[in-house]
Amino acid sequence: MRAATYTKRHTHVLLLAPALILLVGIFAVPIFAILGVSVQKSSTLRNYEPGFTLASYWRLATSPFFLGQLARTMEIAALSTVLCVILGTPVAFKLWKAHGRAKTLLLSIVLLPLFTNIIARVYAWLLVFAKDGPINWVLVETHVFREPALLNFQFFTVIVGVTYVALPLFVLILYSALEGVDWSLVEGARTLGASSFRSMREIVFPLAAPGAAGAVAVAFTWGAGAFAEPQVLGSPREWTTGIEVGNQILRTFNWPFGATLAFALVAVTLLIVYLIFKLIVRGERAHVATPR
Amino acid sequence: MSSLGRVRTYLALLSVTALVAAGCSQDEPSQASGDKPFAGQTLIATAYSGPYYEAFKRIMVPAFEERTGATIQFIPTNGEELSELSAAPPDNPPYDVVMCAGPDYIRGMEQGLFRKLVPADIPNMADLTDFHQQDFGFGLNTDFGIPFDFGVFVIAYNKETLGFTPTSYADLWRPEAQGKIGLDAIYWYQNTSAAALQLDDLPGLDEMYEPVDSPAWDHIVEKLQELDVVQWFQTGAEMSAALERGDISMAIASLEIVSEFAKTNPEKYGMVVPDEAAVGYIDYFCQTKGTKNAALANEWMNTLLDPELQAQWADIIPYYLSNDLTEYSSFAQPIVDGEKDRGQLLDYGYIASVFDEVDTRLKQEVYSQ
Repeated sequence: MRAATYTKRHTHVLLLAPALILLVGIFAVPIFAILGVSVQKSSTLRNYEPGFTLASYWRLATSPFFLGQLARTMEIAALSTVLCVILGTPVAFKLWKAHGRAKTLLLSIVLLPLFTNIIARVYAWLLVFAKDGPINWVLVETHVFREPALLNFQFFTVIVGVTYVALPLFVLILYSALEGVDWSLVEGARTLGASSFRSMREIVFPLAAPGAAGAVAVAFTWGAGAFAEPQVLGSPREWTTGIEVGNQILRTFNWPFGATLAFALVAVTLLIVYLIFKLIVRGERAHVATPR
Repeated sequence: MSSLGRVRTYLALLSVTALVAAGCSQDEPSQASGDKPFAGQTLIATAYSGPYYEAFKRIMVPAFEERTGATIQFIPTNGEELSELSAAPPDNPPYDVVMCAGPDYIRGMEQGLFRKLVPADIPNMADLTDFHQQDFGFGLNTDFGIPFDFGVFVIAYNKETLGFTPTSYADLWRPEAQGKIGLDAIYWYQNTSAAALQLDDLPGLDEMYEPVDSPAWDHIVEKLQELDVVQWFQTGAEMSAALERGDISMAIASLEIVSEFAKTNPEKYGMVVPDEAAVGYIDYFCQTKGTKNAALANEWMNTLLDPELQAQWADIIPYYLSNDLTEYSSFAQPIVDGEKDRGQLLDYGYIASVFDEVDTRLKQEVYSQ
């Protein structure tokens, strides 16, 4: 008996090993490398001088500008995530409930943007919001504006861009979570007198919660790491920490500070994603635990 | 014939066809390049993306490949190559030759990323103009790179949407230009030059060479804050697209970014070298330290300095080029004359030393206002 348990445990470890190795290799190692560079000395003669210092962290901690940029990055991520939830949840539900050709069509519509390069997708929004673009045309024709207004390089344009790029990912993850829910359970609940809302709240939500948390986390992480959208569609007020990391490393050659910003971005994002999971999964447990 | 027999026949036919095709496709290039000195070799070289890259690809690359028999893997870049070089193993750089201007050339030399040139290996270096081969005193010289051009910053404008014809940097501060301006958020010295030339604190561009926390820099920052800038762009492509869409109506940009626009659509787009000065930079091509293709890199550099090819190149981008024997077309000559007469090279040694400091100050006090 004991031997069988031992073998089973080892089989689990062996099965997990490739994923663990991959995770450590592609996630943990680069993070530690970034951490290592962030505590080196800045140098004009090379990327960094060897020698431990927390100067870059001190610079970040005492700079309202860079802290503000990090806060703005999180604001962009949070707003675009909320929009993804509002716009994406009905689509994911519709996908879940659709059958046959309707399902294929809906799925194709969701997948279609992913077949196009992200830069092309973001630049397309520049044209949509341009002074001679369709939105300005509609606003002028309907007398909302007297003349075409500058819609590009604004905060809301960046939010539109980030949401647009993250939305298909959100929908697909939520949809796959919903696919794991047995619809007959919902039907059973309804037969027993539960309303549509109650059956959704008490059956679908708890069962899909971990997947939904994943969808929200992916949307948020995408927003936090947004690079192309704020750079192309925004002004420097909307430039994210991700853009600043690129500038510090590629333009000003201050690798330690660039690495510090990158590490701070990862740390704050991970913390928020952890809170998202905790919040959603706790909500699900509360539903399951509450006797009705 | 059995089905197995048919499969065998098809396979045999397929194999023969593949062999014949492979033979035909390999014959021609090997005969054409076999007697050339670098046949079969590949050089990895860069140029700034956009019109620069296109002009080099159109004029220089075919000539180089024809002369040497080698292939060039020509990569458009946007200033990131120095970081890539410094992160690469010293004996295996990702590029053989890189293009870099101004502060990047000085930084690359300071970081020891380039291979020292031997002028005798690049015969066309003997014909460099006096201007291009001088030691500018702040680090720009021809020890590690061949100078190619003297690029200038111009005011580019959309004639249909601007409402007036700009002639000087001062026009950026006109009330009717506000809300229509695009400026570069990376190569900040383009904008600070324009501001410094409007100030009377010190002659010319000297305000820019004061300490970054000095009153002179305070005045430059205040001057830039007066502008209502719509777009702070990071690449020339972003700027030219905004100019085309009408999101901006005027911008300071390198001439090469807008010359094609102004040449092909002169009714809509214009560009002007500002009255105050033709502020500019020299682009260098440098061999990377550790390159295994130094001889081929020398050939590429020699091709870049060829006066006939330079003349063709200047017809696309009218810059004052580095070979003294280059003869300009009637289109390029007047522009090049203006660049020669009013050209003002920035002190890129100083700019490189304060790049991060100024960049941070402008981000905080100007770009994000």
